[in-house]
Amino acid sequence: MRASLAAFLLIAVCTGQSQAFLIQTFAGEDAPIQQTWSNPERIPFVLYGTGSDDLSPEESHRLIRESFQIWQDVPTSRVAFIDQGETTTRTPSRRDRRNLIFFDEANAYLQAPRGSGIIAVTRLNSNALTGEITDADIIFNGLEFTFAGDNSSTRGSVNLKDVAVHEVGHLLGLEHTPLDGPAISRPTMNPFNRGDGPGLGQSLEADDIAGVSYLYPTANYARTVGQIKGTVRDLQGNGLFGAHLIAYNVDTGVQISTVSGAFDGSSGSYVLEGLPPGRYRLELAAIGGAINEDNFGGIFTDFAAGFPREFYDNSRAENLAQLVNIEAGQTLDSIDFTTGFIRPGFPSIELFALPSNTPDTSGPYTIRAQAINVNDIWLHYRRSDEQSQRIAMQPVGEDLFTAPIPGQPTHTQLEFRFEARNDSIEQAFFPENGSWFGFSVVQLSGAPLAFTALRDADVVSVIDTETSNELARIAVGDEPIQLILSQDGRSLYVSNLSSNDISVISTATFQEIERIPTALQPLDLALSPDGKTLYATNSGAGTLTVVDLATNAGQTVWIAGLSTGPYGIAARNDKVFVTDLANDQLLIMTPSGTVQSRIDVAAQPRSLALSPDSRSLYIASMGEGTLTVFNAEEERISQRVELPVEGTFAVAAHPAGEKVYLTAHDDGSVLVLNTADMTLRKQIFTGDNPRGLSFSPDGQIVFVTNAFSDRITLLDGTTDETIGTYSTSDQPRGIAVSNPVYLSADTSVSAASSLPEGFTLHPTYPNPFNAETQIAYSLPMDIPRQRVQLNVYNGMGQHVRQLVNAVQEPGFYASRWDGRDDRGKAVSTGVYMLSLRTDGHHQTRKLLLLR
Amino acid sequence: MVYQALTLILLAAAHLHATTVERFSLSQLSAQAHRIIVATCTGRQTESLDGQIFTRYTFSVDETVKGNAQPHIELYLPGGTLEGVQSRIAGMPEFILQSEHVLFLTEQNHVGFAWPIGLGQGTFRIERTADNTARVYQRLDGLTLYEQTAKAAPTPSIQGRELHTFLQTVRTLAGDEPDAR
Repeated sequence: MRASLAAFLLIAVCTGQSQAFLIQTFAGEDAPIQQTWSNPERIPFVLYGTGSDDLSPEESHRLIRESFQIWQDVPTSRVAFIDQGETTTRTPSRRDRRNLIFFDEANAYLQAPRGSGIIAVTRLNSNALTGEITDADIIFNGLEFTFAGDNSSTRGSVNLKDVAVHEVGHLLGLEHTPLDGPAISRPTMNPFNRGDGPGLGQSLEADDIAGVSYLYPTANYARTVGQIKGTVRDLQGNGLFGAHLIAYNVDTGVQISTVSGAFDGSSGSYVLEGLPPGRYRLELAAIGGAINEDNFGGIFTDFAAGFPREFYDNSRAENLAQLVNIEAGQTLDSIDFTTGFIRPGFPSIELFALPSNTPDTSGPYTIRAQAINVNDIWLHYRRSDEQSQRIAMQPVGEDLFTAPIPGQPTHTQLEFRFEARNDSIEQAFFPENGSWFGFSVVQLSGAPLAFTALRDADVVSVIDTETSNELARIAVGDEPIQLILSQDGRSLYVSNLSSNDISVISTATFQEIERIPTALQPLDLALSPDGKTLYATNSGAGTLTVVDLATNAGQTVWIAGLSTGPYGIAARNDKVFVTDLANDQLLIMTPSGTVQSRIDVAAQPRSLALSPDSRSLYIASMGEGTLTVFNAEEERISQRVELPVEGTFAVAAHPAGEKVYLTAHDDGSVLVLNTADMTLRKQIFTGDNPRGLSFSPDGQIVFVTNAFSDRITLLDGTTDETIGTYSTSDQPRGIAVSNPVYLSADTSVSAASSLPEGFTLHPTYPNPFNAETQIAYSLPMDIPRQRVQLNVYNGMGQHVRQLVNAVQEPGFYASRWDGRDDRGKAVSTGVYMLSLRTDGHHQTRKLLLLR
Repeated sequence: MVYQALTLILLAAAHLHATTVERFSLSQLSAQAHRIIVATCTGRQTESLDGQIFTRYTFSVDETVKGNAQPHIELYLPGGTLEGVQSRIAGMPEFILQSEHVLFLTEQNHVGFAWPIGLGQGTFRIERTADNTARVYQRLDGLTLYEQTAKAAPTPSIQGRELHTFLQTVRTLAGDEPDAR
């Protein structure tokens, strides 16, 4: 590490729930210099007479005084302030020893240009020889920001006290904290004002309290805590500077943070100070990208980076960390880390991908591991607490091994772990400490499944719409954003905005089976009506990825003349549509991606949806409350529909074709229009920032993802009344709903699974359909065997196709109809009746075939 | 105890700023910037203005992504070391000579100088690998270092991205684009 950047002090003590505060320093010749008050029991401040132009002098000064008082009230710190009243002089200086608090309404002092984002500044003057703070001024950017009083704030204003408490922390010598979190627990010294609810930023969190307690502790404070020491080194044994270490008290939630090299810069040593007695999980993580040398004063560079997060002792998994117990006054030494997860030469094993919960009872479940320094590697697996089985894993690539676990009945909880040995017969387990990985074989109710991309969690959530239970979370790429089902419903495609690829998920097993690379920031997806081609807009690249679904091979096509996006997309067999948001245009392209024409539409066209018959294209526009209806066959705008909102994000046509749904993201509502006359049928307020729409296969339920309120709203597909919600997390975005798909059509899913209680012909998918529709039905357990007839009839009641005529046992069954009659001839567009008949039951469903 | 670990060799009076700042996404930076440039720092000089310390940085502009193209640009930012006094604003970027950056700049202030938007948020350092591939490293894209209630921060998506793809994204975002993703 560089000597001039040798070290900075980043020590934490704590009294509350989480700490990671930093102390303000500046670079000395050989070491950083800490900024502190030498007489913290008597820190003066003086207020400029007029206060904020947005508030009365009385109110703004009261709020600032209260902000000082909040820090003074910390019982473990001896900080106290002297209120020197008000002044009519406001010349900030370096050396006048007057700690002036004022609002720079004309930007005469701060000189920050408009748009800088700076709300307030605290300046500290320090004695060069002692580090003693001798002068401090807090300057509020009154020119560009409007300040609100008390616990109020109006749109476009910032709460004065939220900002003032933060700035007083700086005045005391505290830096910005690297800890983040929800507003309710985010430390006050987090640098960003993010428009949280008024008042949320003005209460001190444990991190803030720990900071001021460390700087100016009361006499007994230090004796109540312990410390942990150790080193952080790379695989070559070099000490690392700037690796972030976090001690997390697993019982109280207290967090304390430091970085390696805080004391000497190069050896990689660290000290975690001020730990309240208790059990701690120790984590090592790289500081990179967010908080770095620039954010903390510009005196640091070369923070160690590029190593994975890990836990003591050499565990990647949080729940597998070895806990460390600390007592008051105790020092634990030699708690060392080697970055890169492994001890040098020791067998190292890493799970390649954690299997998701699965409805697959037939198996096998393929478990993959990445391992180095191993001669032999085994997979141990077991059901619940049964004795485990051990099987040798087979190499399938460089450092990659696999092993199969046989299929299991539903409700089975499977656990597994790895064992490896190296040349020296050294043995390693992963997970360690007797822990196991696990997943479950879940039961489906037979009702449709809702697949939702959770953008912030990098997973697709699977919810059973009958039970409302989340069955699985399927790990995908970074920032999953939109998803679409294949025509047969067996594959789910997920665009991963930040990892620049498309995840392919088996809807029968809930496992990711492939990644298809795209260009930058793949966004919206569309499927050609024949189901053979998948299109993805690469919103950061100005291109389209065209995927041949027979091979999953993608080809990227450059879109001429596009200045932003593309964003929305819709596909017919003969043409593809995308939106050019910046130019307010719809682009009409050939299926291979050649732009044929441009059509001016309403401002900022975002999303597209075709009517079920593909004749009408609906265009949602973010820039104005207009729905553009485009005749997709004649390639002309047929209607512009004015909407009672300022813009819309998503659009979807109801499967029956009678209604169109739009999300008005800024209004928090969904608009429903009649397609017959394009009149507004209903506006439903669903949640914060609705962005995704989907329908149950029978069209009876409309699903709306509310991205910012982490909620999915369910609307009745007929009345459009709200009929329920699912709570999610992590910003739900794209959603797709399908009937369960079973591994093998025309066969029972699993004789061993729990059997259905009722006779049900489930909604088909897709419906309407073009090439093929999936059919699922269940036979109750109370009849051991019965004859089952599944037939298709046309609108005149004439028999068209026999799909099943067999004696079957209780269970779940699946079939499909390809739109052909018994002679193999394709039948025409129209409404058909699907009939399921047994000795004691008969149920029908309508099918709409569109050619 | 902690104090004992510090070797306090003190050279000069310190003059230090700290801030509360708005948080900007790359989309917001791109959309709000009056000028976005790829530039190399060619000069650095600390000065006093009305008793305050500022540093004048001179950049040669290698590429203009947004705004009026000029061969050179100057930034006049608070902070620096002068006459035994050190002054800085936490989060205000400092530039070393010959370093390359992508800068997202505000409009000019009343004395004719722009600042990086959101302090360090508007500064992306460019580093070149052994094969001369230029990659961008974000200075601050949000406090994703450690979440108290969630998983650890993922690797920031911008970190290490190749310069040309980064600029392509920025160009896309630089239009009057709403949050369309």
